[in-house]
Amino acid sequence: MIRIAVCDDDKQIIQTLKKYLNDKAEQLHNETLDISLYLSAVDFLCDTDKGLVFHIVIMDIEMAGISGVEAGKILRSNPNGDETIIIYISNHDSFYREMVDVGSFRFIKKPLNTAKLDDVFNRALNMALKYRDSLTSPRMFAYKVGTTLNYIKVDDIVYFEKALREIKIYIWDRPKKNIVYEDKFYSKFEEMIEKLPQEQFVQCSRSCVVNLSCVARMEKGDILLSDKSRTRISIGKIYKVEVQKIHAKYLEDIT
Amino acid sequence: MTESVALVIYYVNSVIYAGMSYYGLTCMFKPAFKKRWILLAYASFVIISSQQFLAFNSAWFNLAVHLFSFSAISLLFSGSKSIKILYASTLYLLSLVADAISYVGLSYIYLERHGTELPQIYIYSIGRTVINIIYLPLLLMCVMVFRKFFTKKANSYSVVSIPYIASVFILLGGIILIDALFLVYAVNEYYVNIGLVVASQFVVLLIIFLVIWHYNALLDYFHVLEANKQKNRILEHWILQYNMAISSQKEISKMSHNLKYHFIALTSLLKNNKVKEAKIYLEERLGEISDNISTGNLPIDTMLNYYQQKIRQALGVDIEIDLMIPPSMKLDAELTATVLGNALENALEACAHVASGERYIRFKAAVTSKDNSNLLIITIANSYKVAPITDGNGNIITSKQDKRKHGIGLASIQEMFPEDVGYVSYDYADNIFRIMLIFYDVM
Repeated sequence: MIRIAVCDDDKQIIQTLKKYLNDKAEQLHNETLDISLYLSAVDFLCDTDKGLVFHIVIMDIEMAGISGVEAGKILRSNPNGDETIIIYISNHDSFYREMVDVGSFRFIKKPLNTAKLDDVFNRALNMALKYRDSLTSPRMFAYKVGTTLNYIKVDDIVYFEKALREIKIYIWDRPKKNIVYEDKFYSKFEEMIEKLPQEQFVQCSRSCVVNLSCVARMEKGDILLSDKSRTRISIGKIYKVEVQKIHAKYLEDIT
Repeated sequence: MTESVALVIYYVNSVIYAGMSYYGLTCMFKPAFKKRWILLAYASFVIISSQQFLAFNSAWFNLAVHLFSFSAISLLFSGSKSIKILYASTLYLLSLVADAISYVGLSYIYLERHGTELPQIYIYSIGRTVINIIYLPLLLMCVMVFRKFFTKKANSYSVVSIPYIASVFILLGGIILIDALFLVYAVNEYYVNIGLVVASQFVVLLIIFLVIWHYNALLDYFHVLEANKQKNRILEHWILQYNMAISSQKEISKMSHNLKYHFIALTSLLKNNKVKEAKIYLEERLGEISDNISTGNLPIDTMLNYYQQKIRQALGVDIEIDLMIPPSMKLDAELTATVLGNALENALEACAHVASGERYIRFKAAVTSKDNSNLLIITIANSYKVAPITDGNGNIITSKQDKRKHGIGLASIQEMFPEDVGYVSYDYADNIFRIMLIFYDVM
């Protein structure tokens, strides 16, 4: 089940979106949509405060009382609030800067165009499904230390670093937005790479494989990771074009 | 001429020779290391090659040392390894040709004049000087040939125009003439005046610098020519955008002026319950509003409006546009317009070969943000029929007959992007070609 909230003080928009989402729910065969409707951001935030977590929120920006942007910021400060996909709707796009600050958003300009809404919603739904699946049955990476088989969530890995036959794993420390050393194991590097999801990891040098979801940008032959201290991973000359290709494809898939 | 003077002339010429070889490499490849390391490598090369020549004077050993040194030094530059080694080896082989011409020419003249073999001391000094004079035109021709066939650089001019060839060849002709005079003079006297040899050496240096200066000036000229071509193209787009903005403004003024009358007409229709007619009336008025792209980002709007019109006329299709971008992003207008213009031009050209029912060009732009950084991702996808031609490394090389009349190649678009601004990537499969432009921190 995917939980969706619609928050707009315009009843007509609420009705349009309700009809659209109900139609969408009927089209989906293996999935149900749980739709909650709110006429104000206050009502919406009261429910999220009680612990209700939504996968997708469709929210008007200009609402009386708390605006959509403010509501988004409050939502992001909640535990698990980071992963909610917010689709903003508004009569004009002058709030873009603020929307960027809220993060992880889509934007649709009013009046609502069905094709645009459908395109944006489908993308958001796919992302939400992927995220939910990663929580319920996360992809795991298995590695052996001695005779013990260890597992680690693939999404938590930031990068692998090889030194001779030893491979070190670095993972996210989410609350601190830092990268920390997790463990080391012995394996052939090529064999280890084969076990990783190819669309999410990229080999950037002979001794390093990086999770693309942790990449902020590339600069002067380095990958800059999105941790606080902007850790740099250097890209081998022969890997540069391929790294850019895979990174661009990854970005295209998530937008 | 004493042996010590001959040796000084020999060393001076060795340095000039190394300098020319360095210049030859920089014409084709960018240094991959700091200049001081490359200079150190050349200094070592000059010392090792001259010492081994003076110590052993073995042709085969000399050949091996030079081939190895040239190939090794070429690795200090960036670019395809095989092309670098081929280029460096060709440069050396050309210097061997110059060596042979110099040796045979000098020996023949000396034998004719004096009836004896050319002394070793002459081979060191005058022979070496003549080699450098002959080597320079050969090197410049080699640069031209390699640029024509192997270069991918944005600022290189693979198109060699007639005035360019003519001016280079006039200079080369001049050098050959001076060579002939120098050869005759050099072996004319039994006791060569040292002052004259040193003076002639400076003349040779001057000639070499003049030729290189002339060559560089020509390259700069073509660089400016290419840049101007790009700027003119952008200017053409800006003018169109300006005209569109003017006509939109006129349209808005006209509309607001007529608005009152439209409302009166609509009210009258609705009063008489003519809902259907009112709808038709509204649709007709809506149809009058132009569908110009106006995201508030001038370079993007300009290029999309220009190419929307151009592609509609040329291919009979509209660009399918999907924009999720904020207004007034921080974009370098000239860079963005140039890159987009060329990418759309390439898409148009590729699509022109596709059957009319299967032609399409999709333009998608979206901004993504995460952890205090944001990116603009622009994807241009088009159908194609003629598969792109690639070099040995999988890089696309142009299939265009006359490169000057078309958009610049992909490699050039890639080179245009400063690393801190973003990068370009592309892929193609199943008759879909996609180019992705990534811009960092646009907000």
